[in-house]
Amino acid sequence: MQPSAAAIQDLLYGMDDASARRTVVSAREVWKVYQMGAVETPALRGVSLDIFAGEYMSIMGPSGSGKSTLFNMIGGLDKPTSGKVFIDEVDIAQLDAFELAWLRCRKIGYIFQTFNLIPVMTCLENVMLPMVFAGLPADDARDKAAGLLRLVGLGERLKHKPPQLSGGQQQRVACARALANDPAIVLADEPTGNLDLKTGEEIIDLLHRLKAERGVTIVSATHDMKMLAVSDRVVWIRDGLCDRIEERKALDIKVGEIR
Amino acid sequence: MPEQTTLSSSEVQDQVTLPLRVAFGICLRGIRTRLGRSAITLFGVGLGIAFLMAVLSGFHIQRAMSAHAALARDADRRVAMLRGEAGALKGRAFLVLARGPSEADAAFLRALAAQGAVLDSGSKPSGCLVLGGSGPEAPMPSGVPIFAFDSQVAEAAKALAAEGQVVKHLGIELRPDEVARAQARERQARYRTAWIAGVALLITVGCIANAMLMSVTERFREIGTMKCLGALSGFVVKLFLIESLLLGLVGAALGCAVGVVVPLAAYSYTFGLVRVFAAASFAMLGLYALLCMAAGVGLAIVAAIYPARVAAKMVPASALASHV
Repeated sequence: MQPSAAAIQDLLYGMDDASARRTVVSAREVWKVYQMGAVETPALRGVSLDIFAGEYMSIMGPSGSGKSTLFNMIGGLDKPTSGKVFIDEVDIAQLDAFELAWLRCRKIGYIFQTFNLIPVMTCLENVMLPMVFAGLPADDARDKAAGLLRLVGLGERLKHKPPQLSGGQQQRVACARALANDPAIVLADEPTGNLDLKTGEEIIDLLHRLKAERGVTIVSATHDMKMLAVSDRVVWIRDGLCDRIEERKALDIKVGEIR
Repeated sequence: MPEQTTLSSSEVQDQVTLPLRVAFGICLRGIRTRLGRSAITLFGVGLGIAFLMAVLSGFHIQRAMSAHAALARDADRRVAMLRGEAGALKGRAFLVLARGPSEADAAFLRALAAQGAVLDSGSKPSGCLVLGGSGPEAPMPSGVPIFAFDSQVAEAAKALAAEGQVVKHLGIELRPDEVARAQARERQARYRTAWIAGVALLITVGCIANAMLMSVTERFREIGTMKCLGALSGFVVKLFLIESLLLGLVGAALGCAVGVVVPLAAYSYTFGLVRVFAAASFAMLGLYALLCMAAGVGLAIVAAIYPARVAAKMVPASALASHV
C-alpha cells in the first residue's frame, strides 16, 4: 500500500525529522569495479545513501565521477560488485529475472539522456508499453497513456512517432512513459543533457511539477546546475565516493552567495 | 535498515504471461514501420536463398536434359542396329517381350514406332524384341528371329539358339574397364555438384546471417530500453523470433521463386522451351524449393535469435550503452 501524495507531502513538510520519512531506495556500501582488460577500474568505492519518498534528489558530479554508474545501481540496471541496494525494501541482488523485470516495470520509471523511445511506435504506444508489460488491459492502458501525455502537454501528439518530435517533446514522452505504472521512484539520467537551455528548463519544470503535484519521487543524475534550484537534496559524487549530501536550505544560501 | 519483503509470485506471474498476440502485433507493426530496413533484410535473405535455389535447380535442369538427350541417343542407336539386322522397318510387325521395361526401353519403342514399325499388332510378327529385365517368361514364338537387347537374356537366348532359333544379340557389352571409367566419371560429377552446392550453401549462410545480425545488433538499445520498461528476456527473444520467422518465410519464398524462374528462363533461352520443360521434373524442383525454404527460415531464425538472446541476457545498462 502506497501512501497518497498528500500524505507524503505532510510527511515531508510537516516534520523535519528525517527518521519519519519513508525510505524508497537505500544503497549500502556499494562498490562497482569495471574490468578494463587487465586493469580493474573502480567506478564506485563504497557509496551509501537513502532516498526518501516524495523527494527530488539530484546526483551531481563531473563526468567520470561514477554518477551514471550509481544511477544504474539504484535503478536495478546493473549489479554492484559488492554492497547492497534496496528498492522499496527489496534487496535487488536477491531477485531472479522475473522479479527484476517486475520491479523495473512497476516500481521504477526511467528517463534517459537520449530519450530511448521505441522509434517505430507512436507516442501513445510508447507510453502504453510498460502498461502492456504490466498486464493492463489495452483499453485501460490507452486511456491512461493519453491522460499522461496530456499531463506532460502532448495531448495533441498521441499519434506522432518520436522522430517527428523535437528533443524536448521526446523527453516529455519519456517522462510520461516513466510514470506509466505509477512507480515508487522516477530515475532520470542526465534528462537535460541532450537538450538546449530553454527546453532543458522546461523538462526540469515538468519534473518539479510532477514531484509537487503528484508526489513522485525523483532521482536525477546530472551536472546541470539548473537542477539545484528544484532539488530537495543534492548528493555530490566525486571519484566514486559520496562527497557530501546537502539539504535544500543549505543550497539556497550557497546559490545566493554565487549570485 | 529496511526490512526484507518478498514479491508475491502471483503478482510476478501477471507479467510472465504476455500473450503471443501482443508480441505478434508489435512485430508486424515494427516490420511495417521499418519498411525500408525490413526490405533490405528481406533482400539479403532472398538473395541468399535465390542463389542456393538457382544452383540446385540449374543442376537439376542440366542433368535432366543431358539424361533426356542420352536416352534419345541410345534409342536411335538401337533402332539403327535393328535396321542393320532386320532391314527396313516401315510396316514391319514386331512382338515385344519386356519385363520391367525401363525409360530407355520406352524411348526405344517410341523411336521404333516413329520409324513406322508395328508393335504387338496380334498379326504374325516378323520378329521378336526381347527387352529389359531377366529372361523372358512368355513363350517365345518359334520360327521368327529373336532380337535380344539386354545382356541378361543372353543365357536364355543361347539356349534358344541351341534349339535352332535365330537369335540376334544387339546389346552393347561394355568392357569392365569401360564400366569403371564411366562410374568414375559419374562419381566425379557428383563430387563437383556437392562441392558447388556446398559453397552455395555457405554463401547463403553468410548472406542471411549478415542481414539478420545487422538488423538485430543495431537495435540493442531498443532491447535495453524494453528491459528497462519491464520486458522479460523471453519476451524480447519472442519478438525477434516472430520477426525473423516472418522475414525468413517471405524472403525465402521470394528467393525460391527467383531461383527457379531464372535458371528455367536461362536454359529455355539457350535450348528451347520444349526441351527444358520436357526434361525438368517439377516434383524435384518442388523438393529443392522446400529444402531451400527450410534452410532460409532456419538460418534467419538462428542468426536473429542468437544476438537477441545475448542482448536480452545482458544487464540493461550494458545493452543501453552498446553502440553498434
